Amino acid sequence: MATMECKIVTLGEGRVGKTSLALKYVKNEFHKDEISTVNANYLTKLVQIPQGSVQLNIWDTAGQERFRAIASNYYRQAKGALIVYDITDRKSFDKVVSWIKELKSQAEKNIVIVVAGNKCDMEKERQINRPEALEFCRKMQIRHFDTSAKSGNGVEEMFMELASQIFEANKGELGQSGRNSRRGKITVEKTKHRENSGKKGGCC
Amino acid sequence: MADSNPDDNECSLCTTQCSNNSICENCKSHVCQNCLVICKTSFSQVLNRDDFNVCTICSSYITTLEDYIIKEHIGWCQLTPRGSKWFRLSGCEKWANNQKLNISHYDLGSLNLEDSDIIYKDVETGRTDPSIFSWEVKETLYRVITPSFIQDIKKVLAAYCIRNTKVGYCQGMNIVTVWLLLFFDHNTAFLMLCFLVEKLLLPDFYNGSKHGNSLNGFYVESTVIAGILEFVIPEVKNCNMPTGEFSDFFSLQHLMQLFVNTVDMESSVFLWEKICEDGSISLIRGIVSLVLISEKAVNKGMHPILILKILNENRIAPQLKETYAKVVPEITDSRVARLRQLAKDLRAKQWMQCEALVVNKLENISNFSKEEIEELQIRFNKLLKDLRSGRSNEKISRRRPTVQLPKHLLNKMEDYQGSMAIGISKDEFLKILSEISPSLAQRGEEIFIKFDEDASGYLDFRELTIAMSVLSKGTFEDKLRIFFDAYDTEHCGYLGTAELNTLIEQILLPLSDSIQNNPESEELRKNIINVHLKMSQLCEESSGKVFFNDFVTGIKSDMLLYSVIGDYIGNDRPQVSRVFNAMNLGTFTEQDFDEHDGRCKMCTLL
Repeated sequence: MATMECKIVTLGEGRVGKTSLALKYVKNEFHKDEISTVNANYLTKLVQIPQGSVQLNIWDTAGQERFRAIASNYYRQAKGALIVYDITDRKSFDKVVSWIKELKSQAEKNIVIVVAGNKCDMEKERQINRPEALEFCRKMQIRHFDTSAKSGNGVEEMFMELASQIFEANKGELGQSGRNSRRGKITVEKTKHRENSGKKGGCC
Repeated sequence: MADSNPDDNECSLCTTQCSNNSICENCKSHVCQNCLVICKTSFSQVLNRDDFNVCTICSSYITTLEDYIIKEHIGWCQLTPRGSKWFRLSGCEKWANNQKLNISHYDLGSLNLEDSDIIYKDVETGRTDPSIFSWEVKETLYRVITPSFIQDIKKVLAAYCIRNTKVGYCQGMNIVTVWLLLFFDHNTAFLMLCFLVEKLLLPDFYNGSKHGNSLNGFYVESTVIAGILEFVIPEVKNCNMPTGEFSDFFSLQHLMQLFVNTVDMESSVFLWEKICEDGSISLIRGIVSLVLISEKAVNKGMHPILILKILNENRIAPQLKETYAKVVPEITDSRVARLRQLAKDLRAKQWMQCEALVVNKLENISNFSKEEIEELQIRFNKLLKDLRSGRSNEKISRRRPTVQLPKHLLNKMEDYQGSMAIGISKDEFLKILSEISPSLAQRGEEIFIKFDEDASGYLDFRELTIAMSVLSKGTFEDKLRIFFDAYDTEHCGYLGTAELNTLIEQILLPLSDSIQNNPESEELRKNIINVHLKMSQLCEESSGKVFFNDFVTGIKSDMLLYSVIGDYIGNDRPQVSRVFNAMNLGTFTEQDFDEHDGRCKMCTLL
């Protein structure tokens, strides 16, 4: 069975646990104080799903507001996006909307988005109700997961779901070369999509 | 049942089984008593410890590193000889003296919530902890770490955020600050940080202005690096990603942290010396040298992250010095200056070209609606078209670079070419400003500089939209900020007594005018005296340094000041239509009429 290779980006506010989630999933490592990601890290993992296998290339991007300009470089050609917020931080949840908006208007048309409410091991300090988050994602037609990079809760399931959704969305392209374009930075912005109404992605 | 974990009993160095293993205090590995040594360090005073139990391997590292640290005069929060050399060499000393800068000036100011939140996240929650730094810096920091470690870093960063709210805190600065504190005391470290961000690096390098997020300076540098890399090592094209992305990995990692924590200590010291000597061009030379060192790996098509990892883990200083010397004649000031100009034009062009993107982004960061932005864009393009044909050819050709580039690089760069005048010049902006807000036009130059984030001398569409958005639809605070900054002539983040006096005189002008027409009015006279009184009271309370936060609170808490200043900056008038009108050609025809042989330059188009 053919292996599908796809690029996934992690997005979200600073210090919500993007790097930690990716590391936990790929290497099963957890560090309490991960250094802030300034450059984009790059991790890969091969996932077996019933339909086939998918190689996830996870591009871990920096989260601070002002790196958003740079992040748009990274989500070019991404097949999947993982938007992370911190359940103990209301502000990080509020930012999820703008990330979704940005992705839908500027990323690939059929990009698969999932939202992760991270740090669910810190239930006591929770600021965002689960029903609220679920309702929000249902409206956006995006899958929501409760995750904890510390305990590993929900991490595996989330990436599996992401992988299978991406497989579904892209199986038509399987066999064709996925990386044909080699554009320089220069021409990048011209190719951005003007507006995108395609609402792909799963639902709850 | 006895717990038997073989790892606990096996010495990680000599792999013998031993029942009472100890843990190396440095690398945390389990070692047997034979492999454990007591290491005495010369930093025992700082650490309040005389000795450490470490494994033999760590002990030899520590000894060599200690030699190096002593040789290189590294300390913590003290001005080391190397530090003072850099301070002088970079020109920071002279600059700081002229500016009369001191960290203590910023003790009074208060940190805004956003900055303090992100500094807290990055510094206090362990992200600046030495244990997660790359090996050598970590070792150094362990030796010099003091109980006030976090406070020391915070002090410098907070002072900077108060000084320059436009830049504030940017991830990566924490690491740069740690590095500075290894060579400088608090004050000099702060001065160096100011100098770096405001003078040495390109304008807008770490930009995080509330409305911008443009990182223009950073983009310019990384575009230049991308161009040069593709020229020096054509093989970068063979790796599985567009060139822009390949160089992004290098430029992001190194540029944002300025080589600290990305290469070994000796190399960092070397590169920093070059930065102080030659300025920001060394960033480009340094990164190109680093890629050249890894040329073999690049040829093999290795992923840049892996290449960076190899660079990070090895001592590359001797190779680096050699390669750096080789690239210096290749990467010259004039060549880089030219490439930077191209990159700058390109960046502005990018904003122009992708209209959908611009409108989308601007909708998020400005106070305009989508329709208003589109309207503004139509007017901007029209205005620009007219200006282009009206502007003298000399002006446009000046923006075209004149230095000859190698042919192949030229080809690569041809996409960059052809950018004409891409924005509104200062004079043109002043005309628009005098239409929208005549009172602010008094300080038009300062305001222009504030909005010209990349210091290109022109406002591109993004910059103009942000400017117009703040001026017409901005909140009272937004406008007050512009007003405040326009009078902060020394750009130090606060108003001194003299600056405040100029400001008072300006805002009282309308009142003084009406008193001349109406000399009898006791109320007006009283008002003027009151404004003077209250302002000097504000000044006294802040011991001669009025920071923006105090300024806002002071004004808002007083009805008289609020109404006088509100009137002055046009607080309550929604002026979107005025913005559009000001963008009309009518604004320009009047004044431009005489300059062109009696013919309006706009009319030549018709």
